[in-house]
Amino acid sequence: MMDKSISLKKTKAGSTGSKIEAVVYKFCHWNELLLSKIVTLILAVMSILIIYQVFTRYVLSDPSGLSQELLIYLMIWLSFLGSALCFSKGLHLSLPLVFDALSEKHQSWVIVFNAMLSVILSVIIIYGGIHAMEKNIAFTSPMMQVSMSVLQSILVISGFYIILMQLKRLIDTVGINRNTLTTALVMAGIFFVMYLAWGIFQSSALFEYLVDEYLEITSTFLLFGVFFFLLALNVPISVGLAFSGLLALSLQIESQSLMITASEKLFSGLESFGFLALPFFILAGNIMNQGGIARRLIDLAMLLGRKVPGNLWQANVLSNMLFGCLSGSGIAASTAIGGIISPMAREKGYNMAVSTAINAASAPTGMMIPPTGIFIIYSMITGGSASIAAMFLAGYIPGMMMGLSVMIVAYFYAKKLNYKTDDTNYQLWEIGITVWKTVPSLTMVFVIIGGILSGVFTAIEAGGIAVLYSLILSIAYKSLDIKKLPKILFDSALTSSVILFLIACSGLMSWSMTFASIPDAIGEILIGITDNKLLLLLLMNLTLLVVGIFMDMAPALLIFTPIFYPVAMALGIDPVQFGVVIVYNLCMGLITPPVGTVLFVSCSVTGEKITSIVKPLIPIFILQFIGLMLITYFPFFTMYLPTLFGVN
Amino acid sequence: KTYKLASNVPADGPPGLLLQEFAQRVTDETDKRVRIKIFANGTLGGQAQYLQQVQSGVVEMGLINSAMMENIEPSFGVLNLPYIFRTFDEFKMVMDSDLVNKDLFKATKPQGFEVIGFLDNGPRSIYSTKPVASVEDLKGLKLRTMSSPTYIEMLNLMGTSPTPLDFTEIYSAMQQGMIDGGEGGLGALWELKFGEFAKYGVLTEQTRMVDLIIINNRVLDKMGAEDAETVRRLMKEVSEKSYAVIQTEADKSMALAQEKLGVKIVEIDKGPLIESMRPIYEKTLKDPKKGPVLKELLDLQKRSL
Ligand code: NA
Ligand code: NA
Repeated sequence: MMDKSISLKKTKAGSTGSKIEAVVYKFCHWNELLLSKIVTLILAVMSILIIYQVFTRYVLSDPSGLSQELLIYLMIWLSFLGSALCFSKGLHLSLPLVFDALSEKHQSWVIVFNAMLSVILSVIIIYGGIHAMEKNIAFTSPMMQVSMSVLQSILVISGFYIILMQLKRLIDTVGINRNTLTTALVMAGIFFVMYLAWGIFQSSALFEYLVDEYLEITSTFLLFGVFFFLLALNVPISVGLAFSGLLALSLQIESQSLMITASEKLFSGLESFGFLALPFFILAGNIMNQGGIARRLIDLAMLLGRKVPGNLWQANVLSNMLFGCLSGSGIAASTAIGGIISPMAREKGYNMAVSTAINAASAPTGMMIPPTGIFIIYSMITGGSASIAAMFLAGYIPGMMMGLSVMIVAYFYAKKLNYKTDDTNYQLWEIGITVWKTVPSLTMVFVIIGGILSGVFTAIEAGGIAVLYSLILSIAYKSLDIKKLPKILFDSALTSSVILFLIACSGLMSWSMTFASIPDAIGEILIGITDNKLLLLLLMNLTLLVVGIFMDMAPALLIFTPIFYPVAMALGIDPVQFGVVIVYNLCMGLITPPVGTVLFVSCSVTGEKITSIVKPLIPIFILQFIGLMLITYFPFFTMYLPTLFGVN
Repeated sequence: KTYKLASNVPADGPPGLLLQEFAQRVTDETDKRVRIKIFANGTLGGQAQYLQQVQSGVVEMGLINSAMMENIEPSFGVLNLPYIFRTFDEFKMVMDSDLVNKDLFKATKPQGFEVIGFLDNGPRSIYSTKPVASVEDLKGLKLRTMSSPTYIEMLNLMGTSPTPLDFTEIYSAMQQGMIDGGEGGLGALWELKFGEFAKYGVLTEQTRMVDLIIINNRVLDKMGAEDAETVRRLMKEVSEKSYAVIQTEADKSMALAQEKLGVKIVEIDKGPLIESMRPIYEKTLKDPKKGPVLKELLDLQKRSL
């Protein structure tokens, strides 16, 4: 994945330092093994639980209310423990742009700096976690009736593990020697001086003036200034988000409350049933990968489109649209489909950076093509002015436009790279065999689509069913060695944790933006600039694109719809059209670095660096932007279907 | 000083508008000494999340419904009991009583906050995609409910089959026939277009989930006695106003659901349903925290089991 396998170790064997190092290392290593076993077990239990949930509701007609809540908290525990593990393996996503250009010596400084930053974050989480547990002891979860402090204890546990795992990483990369210790001491001194300086500044008249009179601007500068500074230093994006959020909040909240609030926020940022789709579809994708299931499916798509150059890419886009349409989750689509396509693309010698970009850019189409939860949330924010049924119909054409943009670019890339079309004249029986081989895999699509449409399970539970079905099929195909299952579970758990931890941290940053009223300020500025309808729409779109760079879809939608909606209504725009424009816009944000969940998932699926995906993404992004302008200025694209069916 | 009030309801729905009115009047009548800024739509998080922040004082005020409150202060559970309010008058009488305003609303003080008022939410009933004319027809219906043990037991006692689902999944779950309907305010038939599938709104009126306005303990002290008194008085006025506003709004929505979506609003004999809740009451009376409060409340209503 993102492991750069840096080894700058300079310790000589036999010295006292290395003996201590060996003991510490052994202890860390033992804990890492334990942690690996635990996350594997948690994901296995979760998979069984979600299938059990479908079984009790559909077969027994006696739904288990407990399983849903239990699943959410298991997922939170999984993400915190798994993300601690990722610190030891260096799996957390970062942007190594500047880092790669540094000399070895400077790199080792940066590594020590990053390690210390993670440790400081852990200390904050441990301290805040202990106090949150104390405070929330009387608060019980609705179904399990378990005290919140028991559930939140994971903050403290994972805090300790992050420190241990970070220590192991440090030994692995630079080793504990005199150089490292000196660097660490100097950095600690710098951190301490900065902390003192910040404290003195906070009690100054200037600080009070800035916070009282210019809270929004001060917060914005602090938030983004710190974030970009940390990103440049190759700090994991999640840690960078958390720190910039913390600093911006420190303008308004005193330090003890801040640590508690931040810890609670990291925990609660994941308390949503919707995120469960992620680990299950990642797991299902990994099983299918090993089991050769979807591969047969894609073989068929390739055979049908064999006259188009780069037909694997076209198959990827089509499958993403189909799959995303089912799951309503860009993350699920990009892992499930991307996970299958990428080994094939590698085998066939496709350009992997372009492949990753194509998978990423086409995955969000499923959030536009109904059914999709994001439209339901929008409809709820508008108090039902935009009906869900109308939203669903309005999403079809823009969703397909988004997919088409990717297909066009994929076609030209394939032409440019001289990918051959397949000119073999296949015999009918050859085609027949390919089709026959895909029957069981095709059945899987029918099971999932049919199951959701007939109400046997929800789109999220479909992830669990996909796990079960792909497991059964892989065993039947004898293509999956059951002994490999723990490894698959483990890999899926890590991939999920990286992204879930990132979502939790970006939740903290979004919250700090809201807390400083930054979105309100943006709304006021926009209306202050102009009252020209066309210009205002453009400005709102551009603002949302910028917002989408830093924020995940759901928080951005929740925060900005209420700000822009009244403006749009005053301009006489249909609430349905406006909703589709916002969602389309934020879909584009899912693939823009530094905060783009679908982009991250796609990169971790193929193992490509985020930085190498940016270039191939640009032409796709331009086409999708043209699509955005079309649906913004021509209501036809969104309103045609709702008007045709008389729903509004 | 500006105080933050977190809510997860839309800014322009009836409860949202009532809160805005409250905030505006507080600003005006304290000569801007107390300004209340509302963070609607859950922009500061869900209820469980900002409840923790009101406790620590990071956010000063919040809107928490009585079901959520039960998770932190179990005695509020008596307000959530099915058919604890059999009529609107009974509801109004209890909400105006000292039992609620003096005892219950101050019971959370040790947790770091108190309740200064409430917003009525109207009664919760049952909506169904299948025809319902009598209590018998409810038997076996798969109904969506919140993840709450009380609500699940209540729907079981009504003879239905409760299905806990996320709120955002209701619409598509009805469309796909996963559930036959749900439990909630009938205004949603029009407001959230549930009436596109659920053609029967049955006036079972089993609970009234109120929205409680909570405030951190230290905040009222810091405001000074006079301003704190103004805030309390205005909250009380808004609470009383909420009865009529919510009723009018629900009636309007139900009329629109009937007219535009062809929904049938069905009157039903609540007698057998009220009777069927006896086990919940017996269990609650034995509960060390809820029992005494329930007993007082039943005395107040001059009603016994
Ligand atoms: Na979809
Ligand atoms: Na982005």
